[in-house]
Amino acid sequence: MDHDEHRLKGLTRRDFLRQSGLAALAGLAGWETLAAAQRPRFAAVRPAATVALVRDRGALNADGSINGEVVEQMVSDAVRALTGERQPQAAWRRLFRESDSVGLKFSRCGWMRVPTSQEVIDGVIAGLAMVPVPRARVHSADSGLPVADCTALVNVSSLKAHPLAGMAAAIKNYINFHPKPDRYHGQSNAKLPEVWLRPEVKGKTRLIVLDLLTPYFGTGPQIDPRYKADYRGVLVATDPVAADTVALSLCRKLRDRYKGKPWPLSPPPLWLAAADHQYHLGTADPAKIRLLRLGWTEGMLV
Amino acid sequence: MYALTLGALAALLALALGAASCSAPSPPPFLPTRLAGWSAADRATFDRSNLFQFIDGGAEVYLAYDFRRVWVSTYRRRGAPDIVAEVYDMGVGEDAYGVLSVDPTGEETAVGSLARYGAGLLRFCQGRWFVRVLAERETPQTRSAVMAIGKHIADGIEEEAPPPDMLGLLPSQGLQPNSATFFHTRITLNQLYYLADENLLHLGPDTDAVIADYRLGKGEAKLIMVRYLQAARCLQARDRFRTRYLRTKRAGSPEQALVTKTEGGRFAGVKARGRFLAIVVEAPDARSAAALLDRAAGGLPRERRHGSR
Repeated sequence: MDHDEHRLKGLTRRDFLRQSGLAALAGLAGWETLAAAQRPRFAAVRPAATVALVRDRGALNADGSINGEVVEQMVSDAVRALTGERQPQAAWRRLFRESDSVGLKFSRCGWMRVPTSQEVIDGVIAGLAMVPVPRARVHSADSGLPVADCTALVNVSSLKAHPLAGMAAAIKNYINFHPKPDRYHGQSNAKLPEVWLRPEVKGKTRLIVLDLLTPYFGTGPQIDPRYKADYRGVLVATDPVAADTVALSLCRKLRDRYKGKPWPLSPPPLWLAAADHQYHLGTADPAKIRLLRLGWTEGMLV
Repeated sequence: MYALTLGALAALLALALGAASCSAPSPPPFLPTRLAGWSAADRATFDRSNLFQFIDGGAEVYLAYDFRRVWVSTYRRRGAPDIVAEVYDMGVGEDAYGVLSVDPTGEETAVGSLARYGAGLLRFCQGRWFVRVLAERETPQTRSAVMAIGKHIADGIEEEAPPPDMLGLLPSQGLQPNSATFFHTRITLNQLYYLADENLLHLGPDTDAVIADYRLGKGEAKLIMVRYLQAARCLQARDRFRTRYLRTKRAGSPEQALVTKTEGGRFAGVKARGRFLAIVVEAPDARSAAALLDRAAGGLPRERRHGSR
């Protein structure tokens, strides 16, 4: 057992607020003083991770349905911003090769009714077609993905507050790559990131795409439509921990905005701290993340 | 604004029907087959052994109460959004109230014993039953139909159940409206206020507990009250909270309010009396934390030393 693993066992709320490494997570979850909450975040000059967030008012139609064309453009714009490439094809080629066999892992989440939107999945498939990765070698599924046969993975998930894990986004999206996913619920959710180190999964994830069109920030276990936000965003990154760290900040701020006062996320996403400090999947430190903000900025919150 | 993935739900219901069609009990008679122009299209039922098939990753929230079985019915009407009704047998009335009180907010409405409505979702409890009726999309028409289905179900449930008696133990001074939740286990507590990843308060299915928000002067605090089966277990929990959370070596008298300063300049404290434990967290100062603990303990019933539940 290393030092970090030791620190993630037997934790109390007070430990979160006092231990370095965990304090930043506690702050993002909303457990902090007001002064700390005002600190600027995600503005690293020499970032360990870059995250691109694109929002477009036109992503949703007046009746709440999704505008697929707008969303496809949002995905493309986000990937261009992330890679620094001006042309979409060049951007996607920075991440994938024609010879790749790509698995798109999305979240169906029927019971919670916060699935990855098909339009976001289609936007990724359209991007892969530009590489071009032949359509026959692009596999898209929530469960039953031929992960072992894939040379690259795209994690395409939704964002939701979760009654057991605190929050579910990119890292939790891989939970059903394990044959017994329920082992990661409840007290042991700190071990959730170990799924990413399974031999058939490790090192294959080239792109994270978070569907933030209508993220869910409320209580569970089932959906309460009062807590589904009209956010109209898509977030992309190559670092899953950084992506979820920005998502955590957004989720908490959506909660605060709804209540008009702090509404901390509970339980804390222990797995996010573990993903950084114990499993070394990326950075959860807001000071090491650079967030690129594109498009509609009103109510962006992060 | 939002849309259900009804295809996935229908597939799930079909799977459940196929798996359980031979042995599943009949749906309760108060679940309508047709109402306000909507007709039941799919039905399924799940018990404690397979609830995860319906609520994958969230069943634990119901299993933390005395959940027995749920019936799920999808109602359809041509050209209109679908409506899904879920009827949960929670075993006892207290637990039907408890599940509803996990989120005590929403527009109060006259359906069943206690009901909340918001954005197309009606939640209510009646007797040992907890009910959710959800419209795929809220319109004046679906709101009316959701209410009609809910009232039909509520009117068909003859049993009554009082709210958990633990609610009556909460001191009224400073109690914030619609903030109290009745629960049993750490899973629910951590969903509402994370104390620790270990079971610091020795909570379990046999403990009754309530958590509520209080206004204390210009600040706010949370009060947690727990009733144990035995006073000895209460004292163990008090001692564990003292050492692991308050981190004080001062044992003191269990019936004396013990308060310490925590991170962020807040205060937390504990006080025990018989089988009852009172805990205050997030208080703005030590004096108000101790006063709230004293008020909580002062309202507790006098019991014989080894009184039964």
